[in-house]
Amino acid sequence: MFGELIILSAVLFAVGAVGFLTRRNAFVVLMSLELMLNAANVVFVAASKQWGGPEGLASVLIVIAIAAAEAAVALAALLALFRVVGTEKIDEWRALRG
Amino acid sequence: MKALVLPVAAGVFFLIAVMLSPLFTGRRWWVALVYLFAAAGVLAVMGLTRPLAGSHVAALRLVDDALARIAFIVAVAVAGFTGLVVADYRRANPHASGEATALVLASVTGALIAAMAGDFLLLIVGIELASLPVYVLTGILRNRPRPAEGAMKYILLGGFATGVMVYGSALIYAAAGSTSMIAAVNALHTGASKHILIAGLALFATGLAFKASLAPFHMWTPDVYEGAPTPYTAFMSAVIKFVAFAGIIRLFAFFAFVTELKHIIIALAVISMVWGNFAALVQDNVKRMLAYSSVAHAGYILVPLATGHKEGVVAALFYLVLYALMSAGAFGLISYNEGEEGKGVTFEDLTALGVKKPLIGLCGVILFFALAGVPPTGGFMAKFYAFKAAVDGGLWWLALVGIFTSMVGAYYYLKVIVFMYMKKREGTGSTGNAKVLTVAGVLLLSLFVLAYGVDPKSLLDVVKVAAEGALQLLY
Repeated sequence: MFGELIILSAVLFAVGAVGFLTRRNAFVVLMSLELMLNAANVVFVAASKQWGGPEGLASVLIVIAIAAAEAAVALAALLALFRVVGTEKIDEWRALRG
Repeated sequence: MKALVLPVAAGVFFLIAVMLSPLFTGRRWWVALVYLFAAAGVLAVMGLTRPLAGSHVAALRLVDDALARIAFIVAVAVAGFTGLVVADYRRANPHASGEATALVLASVTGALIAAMAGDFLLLIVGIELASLPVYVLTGILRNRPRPAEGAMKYILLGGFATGVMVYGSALIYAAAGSTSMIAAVNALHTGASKHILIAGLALFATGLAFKASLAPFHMWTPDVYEGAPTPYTAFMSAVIKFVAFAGIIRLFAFFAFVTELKHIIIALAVISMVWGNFAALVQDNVKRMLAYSSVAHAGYILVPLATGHKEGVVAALFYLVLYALMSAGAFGLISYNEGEEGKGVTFEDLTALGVKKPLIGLCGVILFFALAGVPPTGGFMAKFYAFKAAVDGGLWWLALVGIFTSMVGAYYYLKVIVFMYMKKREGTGSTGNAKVLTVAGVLLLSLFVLAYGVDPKSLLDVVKVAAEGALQLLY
């Protein structure tokens, strides 16, 4: 069971990473980020069952807090950027070369 | 133990106090004063009188050692410097001063937590607390396209790095049963679930490489450094890099067990030095040039670390402190020349700055000579120790790559100085205002950079203690 859960989390993480690297819509990119963080949560929960003790479950709460803080800042920044440039497509942001 | 918790508490206290204070009227002297007051207060609470040697693992998996204190002193000093530069910068670019001050202090608090972390997840929390305020500071001029875009790119790529690090620490937990660094070392000793553990460590190191802007994970660096308001670029280039490398140095203890890590470190160092220096050659925006130079310097810092010896850690820490001072100072100088956001930041704009303003010109000569590694500045001593450690550790060819790429780098640093002393025509930067505070800050950093070049031993003794303490934790 533990092995399967690790594989599930690896698949989730890979889907998130590939989505992050290939999608061009900033909202989808942010969703991919969430997927990567939650892949880690699957590992924490699965491993905490194996190891016992509260550490793994506490880690999940910390990761959720990190994800929430990041999402709050990211959505605020995306809103600010959208007001200036009027698009959420990453490759249409052209104020900075690169 | 008290010495540990108090500075964090003090940081939180000050940032709440600043947010609630009537600073929102935005008088520039007040902003600078509050930064300095906060810096002095936190340093006092820090209890610098306690012996620095050794390393003390305290509750909550926080490590109280010299590395944490050096990181904190650098972060507080750079924050104070940022306060001085921002106070002048705000006149041409008004933005919420109370919030900005609180964000800088929050970032310093995060830097302290990260530098003290003896636990992978705690290190992530610290780095996040240091980074999230910097994301906001990058975009704090939110009606302008460059800062807004820089902030968004920073958040996306910084978030990716965080995701990779979080997944890495989850794998470490799965293999070792704990996210504490000591547990991970013990698990490597016993060899249980070694593959998962190494995969976790590698992912974690990749995330740190992102944060330290090591090539090929540096894609965000030029855009973010160019987009962010220059005083905050100074802050992030010094503090975020220092924190990321503090994490890398804490991971150093694992190198002895995982030889593959050493090859990866060498590869990252070579790619960073070559890519950073050659990409910096073709920039005409000085902020972008300094961003690529920051990639190159990250490579130089990795060179001594690749040896796997204690001397390498000493040299890397020495370089790290010097880089923080040089880089913050150089961005401060650009901020001096910058009027409205993004105006006055090209090489052309620096024309004749040194002739018109001799004092800031002198600072520029010191800082850019130091970045190029010209004696007698601290930048030379930093490169000297770094490459010497590499040669002593048997990596003479890596030192050769470093020396060759620094010679390439000398071209674009000296180009800044050449432009500053060209008399042909007037620069377009706004130097009409006096910007006394910026000059004071840049001058102070320049003097430190010069002093550590003349008397490197004073800093070297401190970083030696820090290196010993950092390694003592895990061996």
